[in-house]
Amino acid sequence: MKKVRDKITSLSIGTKLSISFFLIILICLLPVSYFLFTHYRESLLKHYEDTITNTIESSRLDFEQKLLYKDYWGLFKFTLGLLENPYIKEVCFLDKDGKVIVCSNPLKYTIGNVYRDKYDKFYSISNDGNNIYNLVVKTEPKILEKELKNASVIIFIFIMSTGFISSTLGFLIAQRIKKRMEDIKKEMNKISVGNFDEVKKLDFLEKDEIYDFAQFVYKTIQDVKRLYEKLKNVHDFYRDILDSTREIIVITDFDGKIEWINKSIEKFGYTQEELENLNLYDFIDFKNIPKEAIFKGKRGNFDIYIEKVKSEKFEVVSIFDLTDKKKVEDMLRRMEVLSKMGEMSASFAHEVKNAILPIRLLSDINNIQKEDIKVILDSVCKIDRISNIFLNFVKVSNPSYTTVNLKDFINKCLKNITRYIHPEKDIDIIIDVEDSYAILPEDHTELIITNLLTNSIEAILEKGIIRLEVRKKGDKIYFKVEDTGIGIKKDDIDKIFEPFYTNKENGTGLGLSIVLKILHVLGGFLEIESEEGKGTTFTIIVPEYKTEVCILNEK
Amino acid sequence: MYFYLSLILLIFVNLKSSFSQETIKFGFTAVINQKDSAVIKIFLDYLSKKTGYKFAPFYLKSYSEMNYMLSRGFIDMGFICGAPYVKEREFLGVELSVAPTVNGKPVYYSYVITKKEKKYKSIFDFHNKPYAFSDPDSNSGSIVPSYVIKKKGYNFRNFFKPIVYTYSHVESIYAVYYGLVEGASVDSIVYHQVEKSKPEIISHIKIVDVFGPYPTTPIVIRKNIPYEVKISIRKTLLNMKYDKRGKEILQKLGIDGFNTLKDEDYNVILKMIKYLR
Repeated sequence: MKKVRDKITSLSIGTKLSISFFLIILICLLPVSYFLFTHYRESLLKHYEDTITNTIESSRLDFEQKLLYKDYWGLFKFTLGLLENPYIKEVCFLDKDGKVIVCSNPLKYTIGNVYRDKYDKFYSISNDGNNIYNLVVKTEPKILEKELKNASVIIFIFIMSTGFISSTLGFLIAQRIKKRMEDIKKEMNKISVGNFDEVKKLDFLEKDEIYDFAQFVYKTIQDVKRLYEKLKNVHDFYRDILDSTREIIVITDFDGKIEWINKSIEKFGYTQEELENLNLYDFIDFKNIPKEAIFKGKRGNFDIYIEKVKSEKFEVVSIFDLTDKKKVEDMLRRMEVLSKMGEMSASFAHEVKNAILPIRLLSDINNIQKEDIKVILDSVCKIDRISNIFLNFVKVSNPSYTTVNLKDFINKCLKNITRYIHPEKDIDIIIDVEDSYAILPEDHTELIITNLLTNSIEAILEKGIIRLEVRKKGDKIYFKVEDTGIGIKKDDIDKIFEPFYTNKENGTGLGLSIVLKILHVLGGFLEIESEEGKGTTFTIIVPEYKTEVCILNEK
Repeated sequence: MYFYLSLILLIFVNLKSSFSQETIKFGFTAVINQKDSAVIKIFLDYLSKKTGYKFAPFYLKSYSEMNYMLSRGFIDMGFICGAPYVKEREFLGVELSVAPTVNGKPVYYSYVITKKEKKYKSIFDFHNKPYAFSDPDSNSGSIVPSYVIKKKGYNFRNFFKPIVYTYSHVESIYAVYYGLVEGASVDSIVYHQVEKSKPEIISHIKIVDVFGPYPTTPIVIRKNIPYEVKISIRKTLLNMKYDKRGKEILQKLGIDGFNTLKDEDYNVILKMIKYLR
């Protein structure tokens, strides 16, 4: 049923109009035809019967006389005359005994034979009171059917021809409608290829709704043309922008089929047209690194970086060519190293120069005192310390693991530190150390702890608390250095591990770099929590045995 | 002398011209003629042209009607059967003008006809069968068959059952054709006329018996018609066969021409009538 409905609804307008016309004609004509047919049948029957009766009644005197004179030939001619009526099949004049006087079919009933057939009509003809004659008539109903059949054929031909004419009319009207609609469609199609200037104003002979529609379409096209031109300008503007960017911008469907690509693709050796409708990911090999991949260009591969933005209908893929960027990055890295080396050398020279200055000044004095020798010793120690720091930064020596008592180890570290605490500062150092042994690279660990404690002391400007907690968990030793100092700005957290980065007047900027470098060597971990104005917490995890990777976790 | 001669001539011319102003009424019966009024009109027009007299046709249903019209002077001349002529010529007040000839002879026959598929061999086989006579006064269509039957010893009045009168030789042929009657007695001249005009009818008919010859049905003219008129008409009729136009008309009438017969020539018919009384 649905199929039939679909088939009907998908028929052309011409066929639908033709069928509709035909059905309307059929629906209108069928009951009319039935009425006409029935009426015609009754009228025909009445006509035939009336004709028989009228003919007989009007000729009554004539054939009564012929009967009286036994004018057989005259009577026979009268019967032949009655047979002119096609509804009459047979006519016979009978005497009172039922013997045939004359029959229209003399070969069947000769004069004097007894009439034995059934008849349809009977007329009694009283002659002179003694001789009573009868007229019997056999009708031919088939002729009625024949006449009706002819009428049926005529009605059928009438219906069919009317149906045909109306269908043809419907078809022609539909064709005309179709033709005009096609003309409109043709004009509208010009829009799809952007030929707005070729759109003509249609003029039909018929000034009907389709004409109005064509005028409306033309006006709409003109409006669309203006809009299109505006849109084209906008389109060209954005296209030019997109084409002028260095990155490659690709519009794809969700399967990666390229809908549009900007001109920047030409740097990979392809034209825009070449790649349209191809799958973007056929040209890309992804790396293990997220968002980084290799683009298979026409004349070689390119390192790329991919960003995707999904919309409801398509994806916008931005491809950055990393080739140049990597080159620049390498160069920058080298330049940075050189710069660092320069910085380091300058810093080292400056520190050494400062340390040498008292020695140089005392060298001019002839009478050197005991205090002067102490000053010279301090300067030498300072030079030694600076040298060690720079050495530690440049190259971390191989760790030598020894078993240490953690409490003793921390006390040793504190002894070295306390002398750096400014006498005007009010700092409480709280020690919470597990009394246990651990196998540690003592020198390296000491360097880490002293560096962290020094930083904490320097972070407390006037008054504060430093809390040092040491715990052994499995084969790992946890060192937690917590202070209530000035804290670190959020933006500075990434920078504090960079060499020579310092906010302090006399700092080398190498302390935390050295910590990170040693931890890297030891295979340890470092966690940093800091809030500006409230303080900083460093947690160091040092394994008893060396591991490979150092990961910086920032909370 | 010249005066008297001129006077006689003037009277004669006046007489002729005064008669010519009247119309000669020519009677025809359906018995021997088909109702071919077109041929009859041509025939009468021919006579008018040749004689200078006007002719008008009168169509009559039977010989009885013809007898009545002739006897009362409603018509001046007519085509009449030999039987009524010989029987009632004094009463009718007519005399013979001419008689038609067929194959050069002024004789015809009485044919007994039936349908081809019927097995009748003679008129006597039609005993107790419906049989068609043309006119009760017709020689070939009534007198001859009655005579033959009576001569054989039958009662001719109830020999056929019944006798169907068609009042026309042509219609007798049709009555046989339709099967209303088993047989019929008809004029041979009419039969052959129908044979030419309606061969599809005659193709179903066969001739069983032939009686005759008998003098042909004459054209009679009232005795009181002026002598010169009668002479003019007779002369024209006798000469028709020598005239091209006349010959064409004769052909249409189904005869060769006309000839003169004497009253005695019809005695053969009179003899039969007397026998039947």
